[in-house]
Amino acid sequence: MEPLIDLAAEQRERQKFFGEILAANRDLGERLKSLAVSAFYDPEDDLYGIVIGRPQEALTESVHNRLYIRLDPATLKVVGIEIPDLTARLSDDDGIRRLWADSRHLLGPTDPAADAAVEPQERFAAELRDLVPA
Amino acid sequence: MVPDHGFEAIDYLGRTIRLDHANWERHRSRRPEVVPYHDKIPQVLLEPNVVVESAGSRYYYRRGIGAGKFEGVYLKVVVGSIDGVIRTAHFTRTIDQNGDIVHVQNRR
Repeated sequence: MEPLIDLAAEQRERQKFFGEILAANRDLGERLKSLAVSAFYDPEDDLYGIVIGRPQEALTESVHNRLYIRLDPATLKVVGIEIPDLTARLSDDDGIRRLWADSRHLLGPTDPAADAAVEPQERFAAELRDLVPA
Repeated sequence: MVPDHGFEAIDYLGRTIRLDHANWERHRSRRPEVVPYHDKIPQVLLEPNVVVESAGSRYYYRRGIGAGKFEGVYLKVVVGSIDGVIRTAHFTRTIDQNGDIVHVQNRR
């Protein structure tokens, strides 16, 4: 017999786990500077993603089913993010819009203003931290 | 010959759910951890622990499928509510309860 699912307990576990994720990623800004970071956009799925370091197997935690955070299962380091339904999110989610603005230069040459952004890695890391519920 | 990884399956309410071959091929590189569990996806749909519905998608969660570093976590399958097509699948430690919880295993 499988155990019952206790949604309240699941929610408490989720909050605890997101605290662990935040604690494990205090160095995210530094990692974004030192590791290869790339981005992709899949127009068929309207999916935007960022890969930090080498592509790898990962846990994927969702934030309000709008943002997927890819995590190394052993260290909980962020190894990527994904934004499904990018077009809709750019029109209705300020947090996603800021994240996109601070990372889209990874897709390739953009407008000069975006290229001249100050410390985009640090800003990107801060935006990501803001989106993760503590 | 390239194997066709598409399939049709039935979910816990008897609805037909489809995985397109092209969609799965895109996921092979994007979600390498899920590739060995392709054949387990119908089990998630048929016997989910929890199903959440939100903004045009259904999220099916089923624990006890992964092994190794994914042992004990949920395999989550995302399905379009209207077309019944699988959008993505991944392993997750927690349930995102944002939306309507439309199914909980053994709930009375």
